[in-house]
Amino acid sequence: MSTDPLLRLSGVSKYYGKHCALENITFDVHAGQVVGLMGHNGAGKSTCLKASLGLIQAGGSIELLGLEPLKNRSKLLESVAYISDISVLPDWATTNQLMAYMNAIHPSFDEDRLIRMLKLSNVPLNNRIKTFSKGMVTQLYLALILSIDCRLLVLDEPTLGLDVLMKSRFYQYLTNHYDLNTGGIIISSHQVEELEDFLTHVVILQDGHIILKADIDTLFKRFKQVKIQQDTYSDVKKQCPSAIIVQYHPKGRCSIILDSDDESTYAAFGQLSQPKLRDIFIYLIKQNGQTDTGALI
Amino acid sequence: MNRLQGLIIKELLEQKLVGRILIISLCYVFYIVLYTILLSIDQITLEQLNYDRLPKFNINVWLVEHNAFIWDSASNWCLLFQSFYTLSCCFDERADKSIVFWRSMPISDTISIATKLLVVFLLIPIGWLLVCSFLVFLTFLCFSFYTLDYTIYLPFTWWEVFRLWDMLLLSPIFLSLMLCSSTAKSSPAIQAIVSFLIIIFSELLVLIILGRPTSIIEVFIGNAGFVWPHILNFYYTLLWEGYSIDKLLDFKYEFLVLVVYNVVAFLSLVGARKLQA
Repeated sequence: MSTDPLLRLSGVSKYYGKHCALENITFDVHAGQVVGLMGHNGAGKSTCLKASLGLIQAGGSIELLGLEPLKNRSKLLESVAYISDISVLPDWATTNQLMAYMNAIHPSFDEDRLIRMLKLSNVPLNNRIKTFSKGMVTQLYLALILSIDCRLLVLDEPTLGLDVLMKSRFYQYLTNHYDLNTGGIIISSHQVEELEDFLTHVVILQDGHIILKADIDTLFKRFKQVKIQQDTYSDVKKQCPSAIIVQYHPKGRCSIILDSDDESTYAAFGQLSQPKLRDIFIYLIKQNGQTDTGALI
Repeated sequence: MNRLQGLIIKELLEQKLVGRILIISLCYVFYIVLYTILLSIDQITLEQLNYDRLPKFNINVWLVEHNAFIWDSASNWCLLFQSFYTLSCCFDERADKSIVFWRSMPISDTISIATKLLVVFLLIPIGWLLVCSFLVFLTFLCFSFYTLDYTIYLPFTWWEVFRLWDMLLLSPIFLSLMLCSSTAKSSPAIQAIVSFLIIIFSELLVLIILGRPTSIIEVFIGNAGFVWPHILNFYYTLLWEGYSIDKLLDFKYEFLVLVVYNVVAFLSLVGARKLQA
């Protein structure tokens, strides 16, 4: 397998007037990786993905499959599949019409694969998309995109507006049908909890800046969580300035996250446990942008 | 199906062009029939209302007499239809957000816009001509059954209605409407009307500033102003009075402006589509 990254961003910046949407963004996506691009609303996730695909212009250097995306957008989209919000599928079309369209215009589209996938779903072939449930639209969109022999799958908030069951089905469908041996996935979301079991790498953005990039194992090794009484928080903070409350519990208890590999240092505070990705995310956002006032974000 | 066919079929389906052409053609035929009936009634005296004495309707005479009316009307209705298409083709994609899906396909923005122009300048006129010809033929065939005169004369000039030359002259209008469709926030038609009014009022304002006050009506009909009278004169002379080499040579600078405007408008359309990320 080639070691060249599928996607390489080096010092990518994007300004809308004086507003900084992205500043010095640098990371790679390789085959076999599922990279989660996470951040709060307005952190720059979608801007970053659109710049990566050549949909918008940005400063710095971007290489997608070794090519500059802005100049080679239509050629690159033969090998890169992109899903944004599922509501962008044209609701006047039927499944058969979209299949015929994709077959005509997409050189990497595999019609047989789509038919096989649709047979496993309950998506009708001759009805208009406007008559579909959200679940059916999701399945159809994913099936269409996964029928493309793509080397990189770019997902921009793909589960926005879906209920928990649909989100779960979305990721299950994706896991079952996408071959990670040859391709990579980059997925943006601010709904961190749904991505936890799916990612191999994480890039967290805040106000257009990367505040963390790591593989998921390193991330979980680095951060530890401990439950303490809220009134002891100030003492803990004195001993460990990196401690930040990420969750409040009944009976005056709260969960704090500590940033260290050295478990023995903090064992005295209580039973250390593995934090959820969501809590690490809250920790990093609070650490980099907000003072710990005790308020939940 | 190849790429071009795929893109054209997408346009046909998205804009429901087949159904719309059929409906508007039926309206057009109804308009022609109504015109025919009203003209006939005008010519029939009360004495002739007895069926036996009613002069038989001669389709061939009628077609020859009203050939210009029928196909000039067809041409005008087609222009109306093309204008509707150009106003909605880019706007609808933006309104239902499907432009994000279309732009995620390996088709360049230039090809997407060029396909829409192909539909405007070629497919709609051809589709319109075929459907209208068939419906007009069918309608007058019915008249022929009624009058027992089965010979139908199809004037040759029918096919001259959709001259490519006219299409070239009208291209800035279609491209301007497409620009409205690409940029309008809520209604492309209102944006088109507002843009037109801005041109007229700008002319009026400049005239007032230069100390030559006039009325908005004078500017509107082209009796006063700088740009608008030129445009009116250009179209009136070439489209209404017909072409001649001398006239074409008189308008060489206008043609240059027309070509430059078309190129700029096309690039703007592609640019506007790029911004729909």
